[in-house]
Amino acid sequence: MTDTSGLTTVDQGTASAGITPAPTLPETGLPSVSQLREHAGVLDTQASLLRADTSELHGDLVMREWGVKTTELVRLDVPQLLAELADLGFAWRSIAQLIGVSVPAVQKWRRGGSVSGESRTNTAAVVAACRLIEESYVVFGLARWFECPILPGVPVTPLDLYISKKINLVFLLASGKTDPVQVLDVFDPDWRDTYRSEFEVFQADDGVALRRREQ
Amino acid sequence: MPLNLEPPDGNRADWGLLYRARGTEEVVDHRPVFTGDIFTNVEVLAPRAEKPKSKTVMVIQHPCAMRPQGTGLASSILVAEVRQHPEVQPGQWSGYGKLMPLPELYPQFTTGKRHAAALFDHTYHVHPDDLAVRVACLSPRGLNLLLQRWVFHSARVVVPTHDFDEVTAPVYEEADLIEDWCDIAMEAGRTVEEALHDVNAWLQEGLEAGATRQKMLEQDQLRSNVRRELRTAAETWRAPEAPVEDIA
Repeated sequence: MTDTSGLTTVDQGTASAGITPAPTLPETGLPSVSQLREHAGVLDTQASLLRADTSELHGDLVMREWGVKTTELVRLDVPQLLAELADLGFAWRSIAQLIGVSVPAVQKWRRGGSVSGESRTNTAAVVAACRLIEESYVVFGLARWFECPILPGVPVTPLDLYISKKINLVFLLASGKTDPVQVLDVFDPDWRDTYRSEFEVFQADDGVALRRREQ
Repeated sequence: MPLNLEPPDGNRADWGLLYRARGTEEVVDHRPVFTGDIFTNVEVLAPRAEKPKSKTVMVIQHPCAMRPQGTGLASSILVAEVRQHPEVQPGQWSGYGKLMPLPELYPQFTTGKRHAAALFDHTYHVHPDDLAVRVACLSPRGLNLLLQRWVFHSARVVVPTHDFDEVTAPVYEEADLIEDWCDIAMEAGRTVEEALHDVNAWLQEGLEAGATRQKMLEQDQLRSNVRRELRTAAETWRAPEAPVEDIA
């Protein structure tokens, strides 16, 4: 969204536009319990609407910042960007998935092979997302965080969110301000069915194996 | 919701996600032989046949079963023949239980030669030395789909691919790390034999409380740490003993 001066503006929240002022309490005498309850209810609604607006605003700004960082990083060499991701501990196959290309393509770029403009931008975007998360949120072991399930027992990771282009959910999750279940509900409303299983992993003599779960 | 044999990605026919590498230009020689790898010009002997024939085959044995001692390959590897096959559309993957569709296995072709399938009722045992010319490797998604179909063909049970992923992820990671190590070590002047010897020793080196890095790969929380450590170690870390011949 751009204003007339050409500067980027931020969306105005819509939820709080519907806020009605809290009813005025009587100036003389004590308010009744009923009046207090009504007053508190209105304040609570206002706070919820304001919260929704600020969350939306924050989400918009994070996405903006990600875009700005991506634009800055596009100028760097792709091998340098890839090395930064490798140093974080990402597998090459994860890096390839995040960028949206094959592993051999990434290996070729590492050795100086030519990169399309789109792939260069996508690579910069991944590094930008990582830097943004590291700078803004408390996430220890970024690659580990990206590769581990959001919720124990459900095989959906932040990596899956990013690959599915639900990048706002990646940032939301990293912020720690949301319940992972809500993130999963947005990502795949059927996740409880999709990932239901009768099997469990166990340690066999020669390594991990599957067996039927006890009902 | 009843579970059927799964398509690779819902209704999308993005076949590239089945493969890690296709064609000899993409396939890396020093990657360990792994389930789902496709080899060409492999001599196989059909039951009661007098002469072996040269076929293209896919390894269908589970990664752990292929390496009973942890590193070296078993002397007999189970493979399935790979033949041209019409493209199996995403909506058709719930059928064709006797095969693993391999659409766009040969992306260089524009005709029906592009597509293939591994046939589970045309299986052979081969010696690992016969697996010389690798033409494709599967991605983790491709591997889990293969195992789902192979288990269904063998036992009439459908196991969700996300369950397979939990048990294949550590061994797939190990193959990736071995490839990664060799890339770095060979750039630093090691031979492929030396690099393979070093990385296997490094993965199995005893750490605190009886742990090894190979064992650490079974925990998804620890994999990225092992990866980072490996990328630092591969250039200079050397196994205490010299490599012996035929370690792979």
